[in-house]
Amino acid sequence: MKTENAKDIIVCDGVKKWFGDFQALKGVTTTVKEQEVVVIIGPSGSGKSTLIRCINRLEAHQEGSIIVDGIELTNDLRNIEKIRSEVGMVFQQFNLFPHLTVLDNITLAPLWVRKNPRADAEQVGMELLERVGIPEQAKKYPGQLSGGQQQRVAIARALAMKPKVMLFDEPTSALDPEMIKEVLDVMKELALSGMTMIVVTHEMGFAREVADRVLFFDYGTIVEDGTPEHFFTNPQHDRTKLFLSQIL
Amino acid sequence: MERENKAPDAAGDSAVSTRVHARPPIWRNISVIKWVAQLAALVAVLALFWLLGSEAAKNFSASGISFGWDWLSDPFGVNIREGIDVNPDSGARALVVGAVNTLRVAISGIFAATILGTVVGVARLSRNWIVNRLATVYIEIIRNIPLLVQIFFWSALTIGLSDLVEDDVGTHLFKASNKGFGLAWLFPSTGFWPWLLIVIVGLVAAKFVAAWRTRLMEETGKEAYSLTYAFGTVALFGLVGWFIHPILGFLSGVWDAIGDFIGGLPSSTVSVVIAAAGLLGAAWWIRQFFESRRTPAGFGKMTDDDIFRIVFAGLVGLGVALVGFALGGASIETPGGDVLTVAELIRNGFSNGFHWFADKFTGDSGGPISFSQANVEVRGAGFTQFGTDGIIITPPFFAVWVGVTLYTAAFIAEIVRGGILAVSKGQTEAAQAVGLKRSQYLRLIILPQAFRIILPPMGNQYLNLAKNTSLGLAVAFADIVAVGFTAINQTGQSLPVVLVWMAFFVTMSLIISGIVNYYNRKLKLVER
Amino acid sequence: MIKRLMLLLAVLALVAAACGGTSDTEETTTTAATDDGTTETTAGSTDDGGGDAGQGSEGGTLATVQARGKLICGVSGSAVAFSETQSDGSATGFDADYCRAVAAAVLGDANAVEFRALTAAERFEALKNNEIDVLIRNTTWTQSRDTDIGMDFAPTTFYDGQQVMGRRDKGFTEDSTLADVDGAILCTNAGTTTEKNITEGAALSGATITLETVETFPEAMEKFIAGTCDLTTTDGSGLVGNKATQDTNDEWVIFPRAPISKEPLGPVYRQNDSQWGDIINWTVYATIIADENDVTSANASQDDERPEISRLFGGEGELQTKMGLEADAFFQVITQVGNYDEIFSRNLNPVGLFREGTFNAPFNEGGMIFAPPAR
Repeated sequence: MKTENAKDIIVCDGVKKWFGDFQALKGVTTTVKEQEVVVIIGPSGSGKSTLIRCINRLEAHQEGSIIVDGIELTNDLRNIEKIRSEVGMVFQQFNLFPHLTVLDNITLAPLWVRKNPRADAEQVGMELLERVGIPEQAKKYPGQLSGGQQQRVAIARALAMKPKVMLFDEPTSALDPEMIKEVLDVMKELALSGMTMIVVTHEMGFAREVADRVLFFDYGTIVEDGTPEHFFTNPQHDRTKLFLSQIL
Repeated sequence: MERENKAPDAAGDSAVSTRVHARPPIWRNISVIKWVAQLAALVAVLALFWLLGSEAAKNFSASGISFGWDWLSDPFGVNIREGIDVNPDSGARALVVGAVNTLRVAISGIFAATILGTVVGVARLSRNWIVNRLATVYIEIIRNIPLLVQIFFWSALTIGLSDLVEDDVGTHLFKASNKGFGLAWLFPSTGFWPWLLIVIVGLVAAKFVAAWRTRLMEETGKEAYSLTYAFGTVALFGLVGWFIHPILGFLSGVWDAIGDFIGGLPSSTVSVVIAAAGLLGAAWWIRQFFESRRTPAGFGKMTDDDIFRIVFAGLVGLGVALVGFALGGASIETPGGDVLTVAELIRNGFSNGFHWFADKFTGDSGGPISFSQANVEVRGAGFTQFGTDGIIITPPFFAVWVGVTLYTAAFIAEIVRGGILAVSKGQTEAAQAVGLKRSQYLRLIILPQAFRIILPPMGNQYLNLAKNTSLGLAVAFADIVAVGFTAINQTGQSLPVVLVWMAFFVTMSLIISGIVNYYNRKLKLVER
Repeated sequence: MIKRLMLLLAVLALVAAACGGTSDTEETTTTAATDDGTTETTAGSTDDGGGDAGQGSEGGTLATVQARGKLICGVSGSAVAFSETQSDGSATGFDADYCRAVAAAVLGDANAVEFRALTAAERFEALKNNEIDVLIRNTTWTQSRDTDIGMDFAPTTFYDGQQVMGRRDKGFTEDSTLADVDGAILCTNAGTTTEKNITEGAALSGATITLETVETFPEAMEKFIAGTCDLTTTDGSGLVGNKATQDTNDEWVIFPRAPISKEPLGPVYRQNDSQWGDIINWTVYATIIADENDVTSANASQDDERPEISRLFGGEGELQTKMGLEADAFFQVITQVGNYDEIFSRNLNPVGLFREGTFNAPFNEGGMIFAPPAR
């Protein structure tokens, strides 16, 4: 499916992270290649969200190294800003800016971070709304949209920066069941278009269908790392088997 | 509502509930009860005030106190420490001087407290330990000391400064002394009004320029710098106007002509205009109310409250119209001794306004704005005092202004801090995730949202500040309360003066909360 | 919107009702005036259904005071030598002694007084609202106060006049005039006649002044001492008192020689309570009559055979009992408090105020202190 010799875009090496006494990440080492779609699965509190939040520095890791597109995440503010503009993120709670219209939500970062002219930014914004299927909502405010529509706007907002990697932090967990599909469809389309994606989710169907690799997290470490086929049909570890038996 | 009411016996008769569209008895009809309750409340309140008023009048007459308003036009006879007229010729004029002093403190205090409070509130959230601690210490000290004590403190501080001596005579950019503070300042000069008119024209022009540039940008897709062009236009008008404003001298005649025209109108015009404004205002309000009730499916059904509001608006409009005509008949004596009707006074006021304006357009080639330093001079029989140039802040003004500003700023800081904290953490993360810098997301994401949370409690602080200025009485600040006390002492008319105070503070508070409410409505988040 | 309109209506109603009352005023006042003329003990207007508690009650202020067993007397509390509040809540001074004199007359005990310290601005409201029974707080008797505000004045106990205090090092002398205050910042306290006097006086002599009105006179002194105010002005007696206590090196000077205003100071009581008014008036007169006859607290005797003194002390006639007092009421005043000269000398001589050569000398020595005969 994806080329084997694609270059590494995210390299995590022995990443450790503590919240006070609690160690959330206990030495995570993994590599994500360009155009790869990685789905992270695991029980809650296993550190999967923490890992992707570390990748764009919403949380700071304390040991090990994270390199994104050749830039190491350190305390250098310029590196952090550079990486953040290369990495898009979609949150569980959408986190749209409620005081701005849908279109303004999308054009904000291109205008202020990329310094694009407004006309260009708005044109790109409308194209993205077209792509997520809600161009008619451009002038509305987030509060006027349904949850599924809001999450699609959030995806469009992240895409507007033309990121190299998209991070999804449980994008469908806060949605009503009938809206989950419309968001997953957008994500599938995105994966097929060749976007590098790391998705934390409980949607096993999505993982099976779209993922190149599935990582299973438990107690802050990667327990299982393999193709969806391998993961769902032939898991190696007892903990993985236990987890799968509980959810499938 | 009728559907909800079954006939009393219908329910018991059959298991199948039958809908009976009979009108309910009056004492159970919610619609009737509501109307009666509203009217009863109105009548009760009016009756209560009538009762209190007549009792008060009876007691006043019993204890030989006469109650009247003559003191408003009688000579005041006492100098006022500071203000637009330190030697007012009538009681009304003196109260106006006091009211302007109150407004000076209140308005400038509101602006200063907002700026300082916002800075301190943001500093309180700063990750810089020292800045954070300083802000905390400021808030804790100021909040926990009674305002009156603080005002006394600032008063004592100024009184403790050194006196002005002969060596100080001359001009100063800044001079502190126990006679107050002198500051250099910019003032409108002789050419200010013509220049301002040119700048206003420039503002209008800038709006068009900006629209043109925006259209250009949309057509070509290239950045057209519409804001830069707009600023440039205003700056150009301001700059050119600075030199050419004397050419507007001819307008002097125009203003005079308008003033003469208004002055020549029969006084009944005023009544007609007021009546028309009242009726049209009511009609507009009712129409707009209907519009707000209109849905795509047609008019929504009016509730009883809605009808009550419409009737009330109509009555108020009618009332204003009647007052308008009543003004034509009511006459009062001016301090000058002329007897004029209120309508004539209003008309003359407008007429005088235009004549005043005409005076400002004399074609004088002086600059629009002058810079003036504070000066110290030897006055009269050898007293070293501040002169009239620059801005002179008297010790009482300083004590009240600094007192209420710092005090209110501490509360505003806490409100700002709370408002910022109330914006969810997710907003910060989302803004960071799209790559916005801290300064950018504070300005574009956090503050606009925090502002919506902050505004209503901020309005309360503004009201507090405005009302707290009356504490200036304690340090001899000549506000409306202090001047009113002097009036009471000179005339003994305590109740009328208290009524004037109440009317003044109620009006000021209503205006402040009106402005705050207007913005609050405008900024409300759009939600489903 | 409706709320605001209600408020507006309410205020309008109040104003309308209050204005409507003005015409009633004159009628009732006329009735009351007739009552004043009769010698019977009537308090206020009898046709008044809703009068206030103090005077509406049977017997007026006298009955209230007797029932309470204590006189509540409004004083300054901070006027040097006139009324100075002590640590135990009582007050000493010229005005305070007249409070004691009234208590001695009404209750037979000069110490049955509760002193209430009031600012100049508060005093009249306190009197009108029945918070105090009598106001003895160096209050100037003026036409407007006497007629407008619902109170009446007792005979003058101290003839004062407003003066200005400045510094010798600024070139002021005892011979300075109001013209020399041109350009100065003057401080005085609120709620007195001094504000108006200085405004008018300065304007008449062509001087432009800045007038700073502070809450109490001690504040005016504080600002004068600090230099925030160049000059301070109030009644001459007040200036003399402050200079005596605070100016040890004679750096200050009081001018002009002829005061810029007449300030007759005396007790004040509520209007339309003629019985109470008579008691205050004659307590003051009793101290003056005693002084004229050289009767002092030391030599006063109810066996005095001079007819006027005998009548005054209750030895013959029923002058006092007709007023609602004990027959020996004024005897108590003289023995417990003293005659006018004793009260004056005891309190005012120490701060440099003397009777000789002033209006406060007895009438037969060129002064104005004079009492009608007691008979």
